[in-house]
Amino acid sequence: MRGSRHNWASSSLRLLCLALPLALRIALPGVAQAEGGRELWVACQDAGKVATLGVQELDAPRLVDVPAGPANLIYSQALDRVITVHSEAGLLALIDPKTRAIEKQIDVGGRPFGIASDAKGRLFVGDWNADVVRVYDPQTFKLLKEIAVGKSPAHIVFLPVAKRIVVANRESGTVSFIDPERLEVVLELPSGEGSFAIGRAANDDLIAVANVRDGTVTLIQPEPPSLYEKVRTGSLPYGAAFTPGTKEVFVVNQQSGDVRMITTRPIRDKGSVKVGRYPEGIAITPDGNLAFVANWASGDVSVIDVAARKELRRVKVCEGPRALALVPADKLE
Amino acid sequence: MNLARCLAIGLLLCAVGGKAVVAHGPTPKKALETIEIAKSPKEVWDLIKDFDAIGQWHPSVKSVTAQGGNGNGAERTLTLANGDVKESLDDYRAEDMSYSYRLMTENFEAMPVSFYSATITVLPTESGSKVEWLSRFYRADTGNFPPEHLNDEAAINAMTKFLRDGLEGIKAKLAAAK
Repeated sequence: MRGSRHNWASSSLRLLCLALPLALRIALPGVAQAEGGRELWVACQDAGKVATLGVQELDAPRLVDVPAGPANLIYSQALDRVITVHSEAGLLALIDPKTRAIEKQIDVGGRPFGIASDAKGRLFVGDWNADVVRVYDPQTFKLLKEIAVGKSPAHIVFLPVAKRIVVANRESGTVSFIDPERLEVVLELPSGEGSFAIGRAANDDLIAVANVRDGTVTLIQPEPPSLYEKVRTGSLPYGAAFTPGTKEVFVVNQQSGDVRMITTRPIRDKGSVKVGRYPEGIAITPDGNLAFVANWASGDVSVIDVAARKELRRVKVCEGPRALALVPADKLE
Repeated sequence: MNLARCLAIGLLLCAVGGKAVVAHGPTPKKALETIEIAKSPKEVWDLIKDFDAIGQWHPSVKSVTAQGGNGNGAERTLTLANGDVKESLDDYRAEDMSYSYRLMTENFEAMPVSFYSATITVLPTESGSKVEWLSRFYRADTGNFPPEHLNDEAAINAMTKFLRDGLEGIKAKLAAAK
């Protein structure tokens, strides 16, 4: 078995923690949608705001007031809601993307960070300090189950094809695979030191786990689970996303202040693009044309032309942007 | 309780030795300090360019032990008033007069933060130079109810003061040189 060759920790299901979110990456499950009608939503932790920008225009963001310290956000397709995570306050906020109004605040307590929403709209929320992922009902938002994962669960992603919830356990350096039907961890694999963010390739062919302290990204085939490759990327990688068609992985190196581009089949380093200061989250449009990177220290978003491998511009958003998601805008008024 | 737990964990991790032993929470804080200096960027860069030379210009650094020069992965241990912190060099860009480093081994007594990364850069200005020092860090007690001396404010104050004092040290050192 391929898995054992790579010495996967496998089935021991180590438990602990909750999960964390990976805002951007879960935002675009499935196939590319019609081009155009999309908005970029950016969570600004320091400003306590979410910035929204039309992907076509990208000028003058509209700012939405949210509770203090939004550290993460996702778009849940099943709920058609943007969800922000307020780690210090122990809160989630559900925002209607059409009206931009906060529809509901959910007091989850603890130190939530990572979040994913599955096909049913259930929310999987990691608790950084409690080492568990808590699962919430999509209608009542009542707690359904608490699942022990690794230590300090960071970002979480839903794999709709492989039917798994994947959690990067930052302090364990592992990823936990949760079966969303059984609501149990079915596998825990080693990734690298400081495993933090997860990118997902179309059809769940691959996931990319950014290992902050290692300066590497671990590429994993989810089904059947096996290590594909581990690649050095730069200093303090904090975000990862795949281009849809070519399945290149774009890794955001916070300390290097750049995005490294790596083809995955075969593995080839295609160089890097300089972005803003202390970048973190990344999202790529479903047509594969543009990548957006949240630059935490410079309060802006870098817009990258994927094919040209060039930064086109930086757009000011709000203070402390970390996470971003693409939200279908065809329903927007 | 939280403090005791944190300290106990810290000691345990220190005892392991060697490896990077930092853990932190989900919400980083930022400190950004700058200073204008009436010297050419090259003069300023020459003072600060060596990763192991911080003891020559930072008034809070009593001594430095280092290895690895200015290569990525180089390490330095700073002895501060209340103990040591160990840092490693991540990204050295002589062409940009800039380098980035991170905390490897935390020490809440010396500096009440659980992890930080930082970048120092010399920029040209019309009248000379500007030095910019930026840090991203986490409070020492990443638990849900940190005591005052280990909370976000304590971390921000300590880091801001460290950067500020260092920049003033650079300016003073260069002023004294002529």
